[in-house]
Amino acid sequence: MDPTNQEHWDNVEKAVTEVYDVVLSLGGTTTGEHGSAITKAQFMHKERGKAQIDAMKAIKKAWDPNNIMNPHKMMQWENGFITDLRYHVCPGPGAEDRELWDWNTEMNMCTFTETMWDSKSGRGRVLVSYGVLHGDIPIDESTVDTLYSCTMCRDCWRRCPSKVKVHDIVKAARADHVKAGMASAIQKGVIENIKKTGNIFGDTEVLVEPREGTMPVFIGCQYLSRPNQTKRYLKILEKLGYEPKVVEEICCGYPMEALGFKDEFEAHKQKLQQLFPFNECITLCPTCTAYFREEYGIDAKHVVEVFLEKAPEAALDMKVTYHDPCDLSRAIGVYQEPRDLLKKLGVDLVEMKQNKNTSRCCGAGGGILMYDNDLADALGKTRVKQALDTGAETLVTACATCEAALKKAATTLDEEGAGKIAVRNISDLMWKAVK
Amino acid sequence: MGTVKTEATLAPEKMDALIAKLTEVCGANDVNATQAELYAYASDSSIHRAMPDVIVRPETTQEVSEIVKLANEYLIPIIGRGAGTALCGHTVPIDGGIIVDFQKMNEILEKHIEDLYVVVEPGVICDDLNKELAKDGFFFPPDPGSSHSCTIGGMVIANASGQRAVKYGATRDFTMGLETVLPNGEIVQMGTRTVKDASGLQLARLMVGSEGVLGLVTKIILKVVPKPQKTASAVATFDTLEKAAKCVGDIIKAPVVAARMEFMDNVCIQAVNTAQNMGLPDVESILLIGVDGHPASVDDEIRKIEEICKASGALDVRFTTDPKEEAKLWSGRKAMTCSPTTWASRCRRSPRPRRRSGRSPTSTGSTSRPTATRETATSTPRSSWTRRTRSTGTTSRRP
Repeated sequence: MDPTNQEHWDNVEKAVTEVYDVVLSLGGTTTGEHGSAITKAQFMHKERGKAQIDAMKAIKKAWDPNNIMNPHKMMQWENGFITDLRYHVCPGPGAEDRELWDWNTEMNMCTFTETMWDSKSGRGRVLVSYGVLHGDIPIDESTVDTLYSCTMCRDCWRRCPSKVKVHDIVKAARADHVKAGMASAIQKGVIENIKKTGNIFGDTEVLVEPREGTMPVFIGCQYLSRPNQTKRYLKILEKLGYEPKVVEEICCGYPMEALGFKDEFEAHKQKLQQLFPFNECITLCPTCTAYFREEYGIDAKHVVEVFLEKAPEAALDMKVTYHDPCDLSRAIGVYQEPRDLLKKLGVDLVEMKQNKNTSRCCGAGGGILMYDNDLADALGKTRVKQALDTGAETLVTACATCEAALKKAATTLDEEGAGKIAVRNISDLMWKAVK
Repeated sequence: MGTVKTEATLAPEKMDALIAKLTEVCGANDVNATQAELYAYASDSSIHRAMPDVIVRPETTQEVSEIVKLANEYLIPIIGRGAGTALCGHTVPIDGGIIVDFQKMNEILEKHIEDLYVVVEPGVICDDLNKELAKDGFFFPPDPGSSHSCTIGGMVIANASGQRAVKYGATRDFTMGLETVLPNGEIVQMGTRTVKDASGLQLARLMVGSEGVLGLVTKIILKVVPKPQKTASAVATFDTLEKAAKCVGDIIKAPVVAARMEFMDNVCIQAVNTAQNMGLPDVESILLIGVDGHPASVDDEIRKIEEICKASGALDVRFTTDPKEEAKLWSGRKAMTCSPTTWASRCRRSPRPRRRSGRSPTSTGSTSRPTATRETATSTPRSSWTRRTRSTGTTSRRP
């Protein structure tokens, strides 16, 4: 059925009633295991009959004379087929163009528990987004906290049996917050940086010179601000037989959309498409890779995939563990390539407790660094602790943002005496093998 | 709509006083009345929602008792909640009120395998309990579709059952005793730790399935049973629903005591195939049959089931004893609740003709459904449903 269609609901009521009439005529029950509470109460009343319902009410009254325990449910339900406690059957204002809001009940089906408050789970974030969109709750500090404390690691999406894209819903709800003027000064500053300089850091100098070549390479803000690492990446690509083509580029636009600056993003997107008019390219940053594929339809290959194709066999004698960047792993399914590459380089690879698609976030995703640094640090430490548990001497990752977050956490943990582990970018190992 | 009130449960100043007292009981970190949090707790896994006034997370029975006493003092509804996986609105606070979130009372308190029972707090997650019991070769059989996240407290209050009910029974059959906070705040011990119990009215059994209208459960004594040494699962395919349905009866009267049996029609098959990537055959009907027990008896039952299915006109019967394959089969069926939505939304986005076997060509239809007709959709008035913003001085940051 289509939950936005009242006629469908009317038909559902008729159908359900008919089904229960048949069930009861055959001596069956209206509820085997889900109970009656609200949804099935009226049919349970039909099944049990007035005398029994009265007996249940008498027990309820004797136990709970003040009627405080979960009132109006089961034997006390008096409102027939439920209509007004239901989620809105009609999308709220501004929702017309949002396909993701169409299936209200679908969003409500994501169930998983965290030790945190419900609003900080995937389901909670979807619900709060829904409430904001429909005007059920006002946008305030608590809704900001719910939506901006998300790292967009997509783990809830992986676990959700209905595959609800919580990260897209959160992005949409963040856009409503930006419209309502709830963006912070830091967030606005980053967006201004992108608008003025093309990159998130507001660097005005071109740090990587454009160069002619046959294979377009998109550097991305994170690596533009790490010129030495970038040069090394380009040199490795050359040694592997590629001729990297670098143009004057601007941010992929992900931070704009992720933080909810939708209008700014639309303008930025057009600009980028003019500056970077390629159908295929190599990308250095996992986020740019995922975003190019999903948002722009560009056949972007992450540099790790490229490395794997042409990497030489090597014998790096070190014990490493690998951290999966969310945008490389859960977002686009690149789990095996970095592992195969590491094995080709001859390292002893050990896995953390949570790895591949169940990997934990490094703590720096989804704009969290512009909202809650304490949370980011805590998440980073949890991840590095898992790396320490493996006994590896080096923690390798394929993302500059993860690398920075994990390095920070590793330093803190070392200072706290929890153990020592080096954090390296995968290009460092690759460089050792090809130089 | 009559009895369902939409105005605030208590006057603002009274509510603030209540929240202050709840904070004294549970501490500031475990009391929350921010808009976002209230909205997140406004629903469970049903299609209903109604705003609570405050959420509390007690850690001891004593705290629960204090909360219930306060609810009586202020005459405000009180609703227990585990993981919010109820499907019929059990934890939706129709009249607002206090939601008691049991997620922090999540310890397995005692393990008495030699006496066939464990004592757990209500917030223990079903699968977590089974992981612990597996160390001793035992298990707690009820396994609802949400066993990965649902709590034992919720299972007790809803009398949850699941796939193994056909052989092992529902949660009521495993609940030996309960510690309950009565609606007046008194703490009572119902039932026993003994297999036999003929002592007075069996109130623990009444509490099971009471949907939270009689009190709050704070401790549960659960019967546990040895894990079967061997399990096997069969997929039997049929070209009509009737043949599959008849086969169920034939298996039972053979007699074969199946540990679990699930019936799937074509809609169900397509839904789990699409949403869970199950790869089940696209036929009119499927029976999933699971047997467990002593290896010799399981082998014998497999043989019998194959014979019976074939005699009932099954197109094909396939068995597996590989635990991984079995787990995939049953977890796919468990995820049935959420599969149709994924399937339906995909059909809607890209209508494709649906294959149906065993039907006359005239009945072959297409799933292309009318697109969401916003013209006909009715708008629900939003009116006074939203509650006022309330400042509590509590933070909604991490606990």
